[in-house]
Amino acid sequence: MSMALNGYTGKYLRLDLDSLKWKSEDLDVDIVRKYLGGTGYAARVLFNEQEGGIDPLGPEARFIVSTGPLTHNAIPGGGSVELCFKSPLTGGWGESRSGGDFGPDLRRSGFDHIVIQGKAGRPAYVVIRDGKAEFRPADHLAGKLVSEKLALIRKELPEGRYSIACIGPGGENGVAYAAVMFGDRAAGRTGAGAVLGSKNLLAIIVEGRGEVVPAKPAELKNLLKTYFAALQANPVSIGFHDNGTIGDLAANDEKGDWPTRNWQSNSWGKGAELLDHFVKHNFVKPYPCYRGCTIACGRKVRVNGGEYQTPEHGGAEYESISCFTAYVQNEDMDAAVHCSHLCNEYGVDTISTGAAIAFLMECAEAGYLEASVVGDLDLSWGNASVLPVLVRMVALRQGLGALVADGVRAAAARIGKGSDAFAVHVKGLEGPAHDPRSGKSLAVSYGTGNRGMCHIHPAELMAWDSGKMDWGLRPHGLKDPNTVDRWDESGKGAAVKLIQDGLNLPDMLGTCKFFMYAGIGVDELAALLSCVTGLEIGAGELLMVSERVITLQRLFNLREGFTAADDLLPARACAVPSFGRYAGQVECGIADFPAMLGEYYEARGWDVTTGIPSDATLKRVGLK
Amino acid sequence: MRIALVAMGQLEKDFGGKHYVFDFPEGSTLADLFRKIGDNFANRLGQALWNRTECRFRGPVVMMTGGVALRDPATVLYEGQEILIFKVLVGG
Repeated sequence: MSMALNGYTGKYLRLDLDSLKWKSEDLDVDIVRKYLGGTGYAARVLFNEQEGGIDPLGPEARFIVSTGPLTHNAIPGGGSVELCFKSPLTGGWGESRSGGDFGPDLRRSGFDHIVIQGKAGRPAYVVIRDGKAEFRPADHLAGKLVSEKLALIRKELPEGRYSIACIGPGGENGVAYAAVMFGDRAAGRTGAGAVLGSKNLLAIIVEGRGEVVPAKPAELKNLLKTYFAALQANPVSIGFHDNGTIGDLAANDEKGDWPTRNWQSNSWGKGAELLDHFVKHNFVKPYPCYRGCTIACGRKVRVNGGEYQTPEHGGAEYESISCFTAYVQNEDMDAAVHCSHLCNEYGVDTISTGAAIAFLMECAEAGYLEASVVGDLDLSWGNASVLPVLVRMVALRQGLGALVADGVRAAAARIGKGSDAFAVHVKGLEGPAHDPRSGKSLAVSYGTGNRGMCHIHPAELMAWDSGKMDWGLRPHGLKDPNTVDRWDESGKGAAVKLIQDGLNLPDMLGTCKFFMYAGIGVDELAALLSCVTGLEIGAGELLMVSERVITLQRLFNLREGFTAADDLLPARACAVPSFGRYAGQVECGIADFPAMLGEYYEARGWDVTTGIPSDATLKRVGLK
Repeated sequence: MRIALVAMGQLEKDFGGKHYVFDFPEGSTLADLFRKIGDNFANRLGQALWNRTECRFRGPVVMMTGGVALRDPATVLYEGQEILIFKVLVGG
């Protein structure tokens, strides 16, 4: 059935890079009702159009750029875009999000989604404007840094307000964790940049003046007025604005939520000092990643002079900085800010890159690396000057960089000698800078996240049992976090299921997750969805749609050969810390992760041993 | 003049209590309140929350009155003012 709903453009764009042809197609209203948009719509398309076992970097692989019905500059958090694909890093469900104007501008250009297939014979980029697409040659962009590509592309475009997605050398070189960059913002995780690179598509440009029409404009206006007033007085919203994500550095170090020295500990004791340096010397001002964002958690930062001089740019997120400080025990904040910027310029994920370097340092310490490959590089813990060198080597697949350019799982398989004990990942995705030993619900989410070891997709569980947040989910059955002990393992599985269902919603609806932290919870999202689309989907049903999407992504992974064994955490992330504030504290280890996993499977209606969704569950969530 | 400080959520544990009332001379500012907090709570708050050298909170601690954030240390306090103080989670 073709599209007849408010809140959607009603069209998606199919780009065939083999023939350099494009087609505008109608959205199927039945699919939209069942999956809404964003990662939901993309999951359905990827599952149906792509066969299991395909090469994620082959021409038959699909790459989906997706927005949701709430993607719009006027909606709280509506500056959002999702990229979905089979991940070259994990071999399973690949998903990565970026903030910015690209999502809203894609809808203004006339499309809710782009489905990309095939491979261009030569480097190309595509300009999408007012319902049409135009391919252009891009040989001259090949090998350029992201900022250089952006400058060249902008010169070639007529006057207009364009949003540009592009890859850097990392994506062109097939680094398995290459990012797609949206200016200074990145869709970094799981290797979206490598997939675009494999298709010889170096950039996607969108521009347009179209606007989707809401179903209930007057009601929407009133709702937005109420929500924005509440956001202005919300302490979380203010906290994000005033501190950025990096603001948690010292607090996380203290509470044992800061993986250090390749996860040998969960605290370091340097967080406060590093944060002070950042505030005094690197921070310039807050900035919003899209027009209309009231939170503005972004930081404009720089390094003034010295070995790591770096121009003003948007960056230095908590994760990026943590991976270039605590992960590698680097005490030089300027070097970390510089490396975060370099990752953006070369288009590689800051988390996986920092994690890969930490892995190399531990392998070097253990004597696992061949001297001929290491060369003159000093891979000692805390050696700041080697970090930028290694970032470039990863992006260009040179020497040691090539060894880890397919991720730590693949690197450990190549190195052998027991180096897999140093490879901290789930499903092949390197772990981020939150430590499940100090908030055990995060362990379950790390194990079961469809894209792998991720703190935020679909949910940042640390924020519940440790941070005491509930995202408005208590009326929907979530236990009051103030009654939960962060160290406990028992009883976490069922809560994780519900929180994942709730926090997955922004990815499907096309909004920023941080707004859920700041009071735009499930009920508020349901109300917005009703005003925008006219779909009367209550909060309970919305959670069910989310459960359907998570289950479909699970089926995607199962089809690719994943099993319950792929839900297990690496031993390093469960072990009692060997040094730091929590050294030797038994409560800080994870004693029985399989039991936690079993609780989770049961809550989801999956077989408690195999993790496979039962027939009854598939029927219940509408997948059978 | 009397100023009330209310430690919200997790901060109640960090401060060791929820409600505190302090006496200040007229014309006192937020910076004076910071000094008072430093004098009374620096040891309890620890280095993750409190910067002793600069006498200010470290990281995402938000102070509010009547739904408005108090940011400028030069902000003049007033008799009977109630200041809510939150430690919020912002890590990405």
